[in-house]
Amino acid sequence: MFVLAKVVSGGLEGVNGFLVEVEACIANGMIGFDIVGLPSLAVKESRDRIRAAIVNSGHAWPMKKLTVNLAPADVRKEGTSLELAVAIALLAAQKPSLFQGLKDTLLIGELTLHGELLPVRGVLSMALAARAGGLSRIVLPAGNAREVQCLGDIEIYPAHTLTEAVKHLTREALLLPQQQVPYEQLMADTSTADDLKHVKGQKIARKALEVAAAGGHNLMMVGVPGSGKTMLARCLPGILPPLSYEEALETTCIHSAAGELSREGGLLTQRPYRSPHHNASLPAIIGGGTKARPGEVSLAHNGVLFLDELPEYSRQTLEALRQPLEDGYVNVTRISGQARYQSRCMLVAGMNPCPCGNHGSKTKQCRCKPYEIQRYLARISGPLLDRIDIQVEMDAVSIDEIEKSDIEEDSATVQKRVLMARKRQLERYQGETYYCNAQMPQSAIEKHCQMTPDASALLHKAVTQYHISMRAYGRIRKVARTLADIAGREQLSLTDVAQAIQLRNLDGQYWR
Amino acid sequence: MRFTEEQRCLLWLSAAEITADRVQRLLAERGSAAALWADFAAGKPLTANAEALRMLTRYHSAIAMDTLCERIQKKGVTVLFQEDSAYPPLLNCIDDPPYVLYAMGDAQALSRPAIAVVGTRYPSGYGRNMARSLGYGLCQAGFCVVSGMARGIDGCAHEGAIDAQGPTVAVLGSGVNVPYPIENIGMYRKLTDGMGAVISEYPLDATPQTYHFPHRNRLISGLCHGVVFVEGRIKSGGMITVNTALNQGREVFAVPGSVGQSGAEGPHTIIRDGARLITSVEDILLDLGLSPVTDITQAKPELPPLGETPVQQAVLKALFQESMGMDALCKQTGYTADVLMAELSIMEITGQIRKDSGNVFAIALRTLRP
Repeated sequence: MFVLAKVVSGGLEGVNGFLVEVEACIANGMIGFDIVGLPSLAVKESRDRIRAAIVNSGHAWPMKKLTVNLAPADVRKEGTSLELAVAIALLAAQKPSLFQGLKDTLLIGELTLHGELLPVRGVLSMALAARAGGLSRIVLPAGNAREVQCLGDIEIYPAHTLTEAVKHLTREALLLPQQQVPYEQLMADTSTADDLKHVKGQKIARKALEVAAAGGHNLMMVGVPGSGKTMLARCLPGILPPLSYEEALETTCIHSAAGELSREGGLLTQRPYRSPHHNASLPAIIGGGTKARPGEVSLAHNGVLFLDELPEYSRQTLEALRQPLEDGYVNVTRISGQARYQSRCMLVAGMNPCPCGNHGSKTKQCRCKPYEIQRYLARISGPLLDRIDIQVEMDAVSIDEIEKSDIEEDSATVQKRVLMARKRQLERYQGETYYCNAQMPQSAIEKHCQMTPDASALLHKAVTQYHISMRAYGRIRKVARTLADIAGREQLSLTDVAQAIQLRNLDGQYWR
Repeated sequence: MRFTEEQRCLLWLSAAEITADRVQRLLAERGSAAALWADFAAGKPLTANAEALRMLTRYHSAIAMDTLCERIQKKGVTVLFQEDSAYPPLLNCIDDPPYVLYAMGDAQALSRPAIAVVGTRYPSGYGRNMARSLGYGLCQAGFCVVSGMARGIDGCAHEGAIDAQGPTVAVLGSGVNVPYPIENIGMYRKLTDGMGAVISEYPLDATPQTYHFPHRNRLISGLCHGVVFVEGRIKSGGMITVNTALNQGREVFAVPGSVGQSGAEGPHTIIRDGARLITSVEDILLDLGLSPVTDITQAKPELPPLGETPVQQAVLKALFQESMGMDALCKQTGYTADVLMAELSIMEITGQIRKDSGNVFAIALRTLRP
């Protein structure tokens, strides 16, 4: 006679969660325990853990032929998130009458030999899949509870051990549901350590940062070591518009799937700031590896990707960055699977003006030969540069100037202007496929970036004088559009265009 | 350009890079270059240098020489011989004038009175600015600026001269068809394309050799009435040029630097030895007796402001005192960075100011000398 039980768990494919039906069958025959339905090695290995956890939690292990099926059977199941569900299914198959509400409860968790529940990756994605699939309850490891505390319309029961989960499901002792916190409240609790008021001097770079934030433009900063490139970049998340609820879910899903979320962290409420070191491999930046994990460019989704020492990254990595920057997503294909990760991030690049770093310094002598500098700069290809709208040089600031400096504007003030400019862009681009100036296609520039006659004359003069390419010409107009949005002007004025030229001053100096 | 038989024989000697003093000696001994050609055919050796012998043998045929002459013509190179009227007369006065001088560009530039500006390949910002403004001012005063097209001071002097629409002449340590150093290719094109000329005593396609450069320095000073040493160490190419200038009886000028600063020791040493200290083009003119003596105690007249708006005028006033960055400009002028960023762009495009690396703004040379 066959005894059957069916419970629901979740798996992860890329960053997207999906529901897995876990069926257990206890039958007469050769004693054994099998898991079928395309389990990965980690899932097969879990058989011993599950058996030990069940026995150590004081339940009997049936000496029969046990089969567990994972449906859909054509999708590979990775990781350890299914262990709780398999254990519950085996117990429910023995005593089906005791367990209640298994059909609409999502069970997630990894087991230890003692029967404790350990947190797993990708819980938020699975919870979202459960909500979409019409489930009403989730039982998950307590360590994962904060990650899903903002979901609202689904009951969350964090459990510490298998016994707690079993008692909850058999109505023996109910678990305390996780307190749901409104997103706004989470947002209010966050504060940034990096504030623009701590950045002294660097007026041109500050302006560049503000414009980049307001128009979603990628930004490049060239300056001697210690001129404040990293500090400025760290301030960028603080002046970007606050992370919306949907964006927070998207970003947290990616971080959760990559296992990058801290246990106590819960839902991300701040724009991510990622700064991978320049010896990072191509899969680490773009995504991939044997398990097709998301890379840094996806972890920076809805946030900032800061690449310091840009020419030191491998050429291959830099070239591979072009597609995610352009399309806003990465397709990663590996033998074990294929995944699409979103990667809508702002690129902020920092670099030295020359290999020794002292070119243009007030205090130190640069000993690089001109061709060495040229070779250094040539590591950054034209097509990549084309995707960086704003390119500025850092001021050469000396220590005594810094100490004399007055109080600078703080991030909150700058953020207000950024928000206004973003609002104007959203209104203007209603019904379009893009929503900020940086994404405006070349064909729309004529329509949206009308210039006053004197502004147009100035730009033409600059184009002939500095041999500015047609593409750079388009980028200057886009940046001028953002400047006009900050100032609240409909047409691009002389001031806007002149400032935009100032924010692209490297065209003439470095890359001709 | 058709070459006479004698000229073809001189080109033959030049193709093998036989040095000027050796050819001078040989010509005094045996009469003419044509005689050398005949002697070589008869088996009389001209040199012991194996490489030179190889080249002499290679070109010792009418066909080889025809090809060489054709190539010279095709490249648009002017070849000057000592008896030509276009041959720079000052150069003809030195001990070992080149018997063949290759020139690319406007050979007329060589007929102007010339001043050389030389110095280190690794100058300070001050050295660069001085070389640029001297190059600019000398051209404005009607001189041709001569230098070596090397990186550093040489390049800056040419740059300044090009800013003033030339003329300027670069004496290369390679053939005139071989721009060196390669990063100055833009300058090389400007020079050969109307701003002046590139000249060399080495054959058309000679590669730069380390021993060429000290040797070519005698041409830099030989072409000029005077040599200005801007920055350099005591053992440097600039000092070699200064020494050749002294041997040739030319004026030597030195731009002072700060004591202890690297590169200032060269000029300071020659000032102690009696070189003329100069701080501007006016000083050079004065020392050469070329312009009416002005009252040098008189303060320099304040330039009429070029600015078109009050902001621009304030910026010019501030920058006229000293080059500075954005923060200092904000403090000096009292305007916000927002306002200044726009105005500075406009002023840069209209050529009133220039922006150096590290976002340091400075008055443009044109503005300095209206």
